[in-house]
Amino acid sequence: MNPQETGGWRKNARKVAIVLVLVGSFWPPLAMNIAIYSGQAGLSGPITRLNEQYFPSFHALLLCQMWGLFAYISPFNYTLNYEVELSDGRIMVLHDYKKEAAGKWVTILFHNEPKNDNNFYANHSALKQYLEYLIRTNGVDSASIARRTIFIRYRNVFPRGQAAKAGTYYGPETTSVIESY
Amino acid sequence: MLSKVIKDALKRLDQSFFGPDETRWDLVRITAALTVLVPLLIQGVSGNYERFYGHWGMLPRDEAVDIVYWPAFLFLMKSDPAWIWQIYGATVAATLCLMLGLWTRIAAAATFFLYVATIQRNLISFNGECGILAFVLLALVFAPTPQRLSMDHLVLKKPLPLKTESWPARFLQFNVCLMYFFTTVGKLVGGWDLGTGEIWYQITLSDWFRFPEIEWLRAPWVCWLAVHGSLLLEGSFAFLVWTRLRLPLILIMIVFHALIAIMFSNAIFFFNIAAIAALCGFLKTTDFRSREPAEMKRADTAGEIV
Repeated sequence: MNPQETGGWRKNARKVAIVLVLVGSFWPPLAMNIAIYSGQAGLSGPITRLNEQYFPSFHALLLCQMWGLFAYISPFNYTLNYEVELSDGRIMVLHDYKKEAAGKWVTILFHNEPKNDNNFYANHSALKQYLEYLIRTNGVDSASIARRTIFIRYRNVFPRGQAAKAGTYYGPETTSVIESY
Repeated sequence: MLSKVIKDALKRLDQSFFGPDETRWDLVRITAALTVLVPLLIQGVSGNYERFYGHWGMLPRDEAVDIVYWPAFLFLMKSDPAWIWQIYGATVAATLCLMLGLWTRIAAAATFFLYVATIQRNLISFNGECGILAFVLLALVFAPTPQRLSMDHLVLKKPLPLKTESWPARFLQFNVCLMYFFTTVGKLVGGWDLGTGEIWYQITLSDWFRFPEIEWLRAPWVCWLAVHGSLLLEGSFAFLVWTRLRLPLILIMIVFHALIAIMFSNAIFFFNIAAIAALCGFLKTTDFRSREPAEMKRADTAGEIV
């Protein structure tokens, strides 16, 4: 075989391989986004099951993302609060001392906190792990805890018409328990 | 006839993926590196790094072993609590090298892996920019090097590559298109409506919005414009960016992200900077260069003939 022909064959094989890998790399995020959003749109059938294909390597390398920003309004205007009830009946509010130490710099030094709270809101096992972290850093003996409570304080935003009638944009602050164990 | 069509299509495909690359990789590289480096430095100074990724942080090492993806095992492989600070130092060093363009390709690969490992160590620290930076950093691993604005070229005197290929740019660009396309789909199946755009009214009253006291920002016409404008921009991006509208569209999107960064809380500041870094992957080295005098003359002459 003449060397020029071999070179041409190798060059083409390399190009085909690159294009296939490139196109293949778009399949995991494409499949996941199509499946999730078609499910949310109320569709059914095989399209919503595309998400059942699992791409661990892509997830591990953060290359399989569900894209969306501000698609819903719910993850705003709330704070997550943590407290424990000790065996002697005392209630102890837990503080994140690292965060509080930042003082007025908290929005810069802990700039991601609102997003982290959204992540916690969506992942209750992580939320519980964070509560245990607060228990440790607040110096509470976990053996002395009778009940752990995570609750949310939420301010509702009135629709435009209702806000005009009420003379304020915000409803009263409501509190709801999201974990108590 | 058919074979000619196929041949033409293959030729265009070949040109698109393997034609010369004119991407402004230096802009992508510097902006992406800054988006990794600045939050990392802030996390180090505030103690947030240890809070997220420390052996005794919010996800303790012994619990993390069972739930994290494999890149995060870098953090778990040593029981010494100081180990995370060695990873921190390595990540800062790799990102600095990437920003300066020193040993660019190796720096990009190291930054990509260390960044992914860090985020995977505790996924609660995942933010919008993480998904963007992952594909941008991976594209930088394969992007042509050395780049014009890099120490590799300016100090180590490595010559600029004579032959470049566009496929790393295409990888980045297609990912950006996917991002905007699905963001639009997400909004349409989510709380965004094509009517009055009242979701913008609610957004301006959220604690993520910096200027809730400015009333006109939620006037009905502003709501309508904000919602329809953003849906139109993001929704059409994946299709229009391949046309002659590329440059104005990219510039509008960069301004759009800069505006979001200004108007919203710091929680999405770096997301917007990461999006701008990714958008720079659509800019070409020839975009802002004034036309050569000879070319101008030719154009002028052509004008006279017409």
